[in-house]
Amino acid sequence: MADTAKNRLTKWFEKEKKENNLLDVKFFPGDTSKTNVESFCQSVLDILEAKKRGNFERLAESP
Amino acid sequence: MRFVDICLVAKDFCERHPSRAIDQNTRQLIYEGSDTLLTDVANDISQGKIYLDSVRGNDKLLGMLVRYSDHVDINISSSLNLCWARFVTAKELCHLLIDTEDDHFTKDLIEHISSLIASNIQLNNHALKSETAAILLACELMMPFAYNDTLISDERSYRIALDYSMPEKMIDMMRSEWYQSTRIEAYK
Repeated sequence: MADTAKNRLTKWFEKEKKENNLLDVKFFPGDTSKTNVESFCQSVLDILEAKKRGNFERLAESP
Repeated sequence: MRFVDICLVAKDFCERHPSRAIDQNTRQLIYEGSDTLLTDVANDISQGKIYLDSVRGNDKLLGMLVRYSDHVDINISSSLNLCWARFVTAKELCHLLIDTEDDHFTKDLIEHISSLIASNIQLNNHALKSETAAILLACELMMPFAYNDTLISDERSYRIALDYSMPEKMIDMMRSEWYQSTRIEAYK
């Protein structure tokens, strides 16, 4: 399997479903006029990686 | 889900959570204690905690919902202004209200992404219907029908958007003829 963002994201999705009971993923795309599936997948991976590294700000959580 | 059904979901939600219909809370930050949308949705879905995080991203991806069986992560781009941050958050929360069955969930992530960024939107694609429904429901919850008089007033869209901390683009859509006619019919 080629090392593409598309494949890495698919791998993450299947792994999370299997190991952590992931149910669903949804997106709010922004400007997609100059994007393609590969670069969008990379944007998703960047966010997942930032979360993993703790590079985020928690704005709120439900009680 | 038809627009009229979305209005009914919003109507029911607002009736069960009266602050959305009558208070000024809707004008405040979703992620501030005084606003109840996140808490109200969490109570409705009984699916554990909902976490709202701001993450540095880019303009391709404004928000993302990651739903597990025991908790939900909502990630929004740190580059969003207040109005868009509120709206993107509300839209992702709305998925939790309308995507209630297994077949509503994304099964093929890449196909879902392809549909989202494709120029030829297929209306029979459930993923896209779900995205559209979530956007419409977010509008209904952020600017409940009780505020419709403001929407149809002579006030400029920009001013209303500023007052209600909503994207001007969404205010414009809510003021459009097709939106108003369906909305008024649904809330009769």
